[in-house]
Amino acid sequence: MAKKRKKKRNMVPVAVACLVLLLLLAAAVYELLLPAGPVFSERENRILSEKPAFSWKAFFDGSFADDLERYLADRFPGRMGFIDFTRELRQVGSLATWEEYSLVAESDVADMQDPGEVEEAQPMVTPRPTRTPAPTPTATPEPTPAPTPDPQATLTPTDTPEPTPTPVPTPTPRPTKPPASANDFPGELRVDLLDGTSKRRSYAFMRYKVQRQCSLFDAYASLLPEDGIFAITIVPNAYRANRLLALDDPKGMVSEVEPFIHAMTANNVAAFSTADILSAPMLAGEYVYFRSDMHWTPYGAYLVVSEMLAEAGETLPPYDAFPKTQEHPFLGTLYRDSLNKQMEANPDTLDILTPIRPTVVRRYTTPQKYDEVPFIDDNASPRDRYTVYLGGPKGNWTVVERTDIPEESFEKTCLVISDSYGLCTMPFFAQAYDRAILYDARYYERYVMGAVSGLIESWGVQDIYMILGDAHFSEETFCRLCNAEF
Amino acid sequence: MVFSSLTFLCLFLPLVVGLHSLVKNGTARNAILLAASLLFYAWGEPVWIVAMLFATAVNYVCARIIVGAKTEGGRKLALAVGILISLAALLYFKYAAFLVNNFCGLMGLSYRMTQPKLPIGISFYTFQIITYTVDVYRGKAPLQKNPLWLLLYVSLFPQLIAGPIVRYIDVASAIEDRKVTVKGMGEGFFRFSLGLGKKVLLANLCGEVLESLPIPAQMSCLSGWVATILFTLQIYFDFAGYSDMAIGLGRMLGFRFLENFDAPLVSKSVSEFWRRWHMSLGTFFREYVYIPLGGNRVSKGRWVLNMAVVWGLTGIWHGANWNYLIWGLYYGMLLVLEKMLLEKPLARAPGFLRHVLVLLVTLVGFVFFRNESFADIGLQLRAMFAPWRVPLSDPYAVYAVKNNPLLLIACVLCSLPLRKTVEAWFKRRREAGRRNAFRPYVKALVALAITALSVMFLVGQSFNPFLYFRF
Repeated sequence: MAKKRKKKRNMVPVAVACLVLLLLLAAAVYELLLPAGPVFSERENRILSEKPAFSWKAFFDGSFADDLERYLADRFPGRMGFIDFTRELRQVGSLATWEEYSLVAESDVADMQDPGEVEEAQPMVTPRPTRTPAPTPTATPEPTPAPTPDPQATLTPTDTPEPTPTPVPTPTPRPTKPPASANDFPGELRVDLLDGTSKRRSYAFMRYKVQRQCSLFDAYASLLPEDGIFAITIVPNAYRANRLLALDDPKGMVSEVEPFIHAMTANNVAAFSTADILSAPMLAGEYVYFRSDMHWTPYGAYLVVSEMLAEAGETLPPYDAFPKTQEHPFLGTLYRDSLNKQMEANPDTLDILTPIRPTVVRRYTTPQKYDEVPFIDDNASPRDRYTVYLGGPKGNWTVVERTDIPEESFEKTCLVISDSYGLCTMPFFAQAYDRAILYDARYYERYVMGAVSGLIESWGVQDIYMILGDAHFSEETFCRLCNAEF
Repeated sequence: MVFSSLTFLCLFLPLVVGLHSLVKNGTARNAILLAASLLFYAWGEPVWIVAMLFATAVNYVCARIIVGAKTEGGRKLALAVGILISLAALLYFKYAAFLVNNFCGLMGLSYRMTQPKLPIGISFYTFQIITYTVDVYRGKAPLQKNPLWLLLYVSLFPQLIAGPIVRYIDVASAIEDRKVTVKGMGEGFFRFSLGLGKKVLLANLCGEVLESLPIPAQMSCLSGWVATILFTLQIYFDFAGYSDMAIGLGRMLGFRFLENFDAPLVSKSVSEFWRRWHMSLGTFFREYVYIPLGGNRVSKGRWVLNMAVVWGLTGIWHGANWNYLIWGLYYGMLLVLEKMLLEKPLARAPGFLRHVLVLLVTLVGFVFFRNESFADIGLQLRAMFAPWRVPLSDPYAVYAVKNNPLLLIACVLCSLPLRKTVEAWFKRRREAGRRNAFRPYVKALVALAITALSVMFLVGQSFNPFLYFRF
């Protein structure tokens, strides 16, 4: 009898094992038997993964395995309950309070300042004297016929105009920024609204982090000549920016971080608010952000870069003057990550621009060695066509140089420090400068190239532009790399 | 496919275990297991199955030649061919780019070789197939005449991807004939669930917290220590979790794999640490490299050289980079020091102090393991040991600690030899004549709770709010 009871007891773990395995199998079978078709998740505001169709091609390239795993997770019975439960569980025992560590306090949602007030309180960019504007190239330069010399004409000394020495413009000293301290900026620094469903996904910037990054900007700016500028902008991600249209918020995008940077940095550092610049065009329905990709459109980039260049005394030709082809349909990274059917039905158009004047692109793998690469790389990944510009964010040091004048005549060189947001700005910088250099800290090999500060000096960089996505800026990842590579 | 995926847990595992248990015929069981193992390997990356088939075929032929050869020269040649071809594949896929790029760097050449895609589990199955050929040569293992069963040994899915490195002699008899018992099934599932919990509930969550900490260049003293401790816990639970799952799965299928981890973080000497950490790798290097080199029955100088070779190889086996090599040599050096100088003084020291010292050198070792660049290694060590050069703490580290106390407590408890302690407690009760009637219920409950929680966490990872409204 006792033996029987023991045997019975020993069956318990096996029975539980069988039960668990059967339940798991039942869950998977249930999912696989679900009718095909899209299911929308209200909580996540996305269409859940659909049942993958088997094909040998999908099996061999591994996509079937990925799709099945995603499908099983997305459609697991009781999924939302599990998600809520595990979230609650993870908070059990937490000693950290929301007020202590959150980026944005709950009360701040209602207290958000009107952008007008912000501007009034802290003018974002201190006006600075402009340098002599560069001659604006025409969109399609007509070849001007050279004057035919008149064999009869004789040149008398009086015909020869007296060469007048070109006055060298003396740079007007930049107005000094008013002294500021971090305490002049009340509340958290933030670049965007809170999102509708989860406060944690909002982008905000902790004061001490921004202060830390300001010292990096100052370090870069200190390498520039007297009239050189370091201009920075932070670009909100498309899906955060696009929300504003849906919310129909009259405030548009609000950003407090740029005035802060502007006030806390050296005199030749200027911060530009992409949020402020693109807010009005967005609300007016202009196509400045993609729907299916996280980036701004080249037109959005043009609007911001124009303002940054104006600060350096440069002007850009009109957007339509740039040679352009269009890629349609264009479905970018946001689509790729969500497979949202609405996006698929309403794809984007990608403008592919090149500088007006002839250029050559050199990608340096070592300080001495480079490969010439096309400005527009048609072989860019079909999964991310945004990377057609210069073949995407890669390489140590990518130099775009004009080829219509000899290198010895180059006068203006700029450095663009950027993540992928900077790619589509390169036609504009290459147009405004004789030489525009793109440096993406994520792909820079310091042990091969040496310190970036050394390169800035040896390449004679006069102005530096930093263009960063809000996520990279907020997480400091990019600036930490810049710091290490400096 | 990985064990901690829903495809494995919900489809592969119930179907394979169910089918395998229902079939009574040994050949049919092997056929099911072979087909399942090949599907497991091919899932998501079918191309690289060719490399595994090739290595198996070569070693199958070499082993047959070894047994059939009439001269010692012929046997040795077949052995050498088997080993070299197996290692050549490993060398190409794992180390070629590292070697070529370093060579070019030294020579000032600009050529850079692109790293070939690494076939999953190549480091494990290469060593396994080598143990077969070597053991056949040594006369320790029987020749496997059926190439499919040899392939089953190499591809056996429980240990294919992340070990343990199972020697052929340890499973040869089970491949020919094994029993699937009710007890084995229950114990196997219990062990599997423990491993799943270590991987999903501890290692993955440690990894998430670790991600939120600063990079070495920005570390404060506190974040340097927190990052190092979290990484050590992450790698331990990840690896030990996989080993537990493999051992549990093996048990459910009628195999008995040797233990691979035995609470290494409680060790009191470096040599004890390596007797408890990744034991199957240690066994492989001892049996197939260290002893053939002469082991410790040589002069002191030669012994130090042997140690350097073995620990250099142990390090580089973990990855093709200098930091892994240094990590291996660091342990080689510590073991030499311990053996030559510190053995007696340490034996006299209090156990707690020895434990703290071993923990300290282990943590330092994982700084080498974690960071691929020397600069980062230096920066992280500076953050840990030179608090006057960096801030004492930073909000990230404080937040990581304050927000995850339960996780940290669970990690500390689970890194102790809890399972052994509980087993010993049950044993003592039994020996004292007391009944352990509740033991199966406790085991069942623990397995159920851990598996359910792990599945919930795995499902929860797919939560991906898409905050998009433009349409």
